[in-house]
Amino acid sequence: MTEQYNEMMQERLDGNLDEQRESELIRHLQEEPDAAMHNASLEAVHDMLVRAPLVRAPGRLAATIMARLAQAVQEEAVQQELSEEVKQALLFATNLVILQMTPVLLASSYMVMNAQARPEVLAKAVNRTVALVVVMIDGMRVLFDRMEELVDEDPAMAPVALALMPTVMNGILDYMQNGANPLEDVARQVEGASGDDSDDLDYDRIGRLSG
Amino acid sequence: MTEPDAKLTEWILSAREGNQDAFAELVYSFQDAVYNLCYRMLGQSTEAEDATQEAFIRAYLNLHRYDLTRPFKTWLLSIASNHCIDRLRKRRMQFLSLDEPLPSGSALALSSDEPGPEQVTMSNERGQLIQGLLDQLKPDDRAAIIYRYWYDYSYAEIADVLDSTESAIKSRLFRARRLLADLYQEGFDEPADDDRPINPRLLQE
Repeated sequence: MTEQYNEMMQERLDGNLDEQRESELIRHLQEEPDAAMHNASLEAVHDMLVRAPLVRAPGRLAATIMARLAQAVQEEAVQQELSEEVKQALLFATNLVILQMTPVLLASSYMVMNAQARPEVLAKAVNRTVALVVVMIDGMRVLFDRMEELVDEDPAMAPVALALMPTVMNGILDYMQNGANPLEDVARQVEGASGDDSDDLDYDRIGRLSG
Repeated sequence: MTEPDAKLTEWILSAREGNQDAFAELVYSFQDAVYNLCYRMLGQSTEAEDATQEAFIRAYLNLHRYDLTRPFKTWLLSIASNHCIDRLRKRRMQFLSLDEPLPSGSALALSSDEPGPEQVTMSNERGQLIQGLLDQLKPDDRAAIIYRYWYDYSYAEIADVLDSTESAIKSRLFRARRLLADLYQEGFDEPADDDRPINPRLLQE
């Protein structure tokens, strides 16, 4: 019942209460001091909001909006101009990277499959696989950091950076195959510095497959 | 179609074609309405200015989606209020992520940097009281109250702007008003006098 009268108070504020129900509400308010107090608060808040002024915009606002708009339109135009190139470069670069990564993944699968037949080397094979992924991710992180710097300096560098990605990935793989063999170092760390030269064959396989 | 409507449509169509001068006419016509909405929603002049700018830019970039049969002002205000609601939610998330209590609305309103023109208008107790009360409401409820009292919108119009139903808006308004009345009863003191004109349409209702 109280809830019904609460609603009637609000309906009245919005001018949606007919005369009969309004009389009923007024009778209720006369009999219930708590309800009358609540109604008074509602009316006070309503009255205050009704009188509240419209806050006018600062004089400089329109000019600022138009300046920002001109800039936004220009930026969007540049983005639209680049978007197709960026999309093409991204697609191309992604496909090349996938192609380059495929032999590495195959080599990893090959190592694990071999290890399944030889349970004693399973842990070592897993370590090699983890080491391989660690090196690749580390290389990618450096690559992406550098790309981000380039694009921050000049957004037009985005397609260039993307197009260079496969080349850089190739460089990482070459380094792993012919350089100081970081894979071995990382694998040793993963294994807790218990390196075993008997697994050089696995590195050769990875090198051949990924090169 | 009345003459102002025809002019408005002409500006919109021209702005759609990329005419920024035509869009400037729309900005001049509606900047007060949008700014007031943003200020009432956000409670800070600097943020309200930024939100107003953002709302107009979004409107310009989405003019091709505007349905000419709908009132332009309603469409524009809906962009502004949705943007403000998003900002308030993000602001709340930031406060929560810092594991700090939410500041009171009046504190936010008073912490505004340099005094702007609206602060001259609001430099009275009633202005601060209203903003302080509004800031206690949830973003969606606040928007409903602002549309009801500052824009004379009906339940149906508010539902349209906020993409809701009439019954949901009605209960949202009732809930918000009840909370405001409770807060008012608990200690918000109304200043004694005020000489601002009363909106006659609302009083008739």
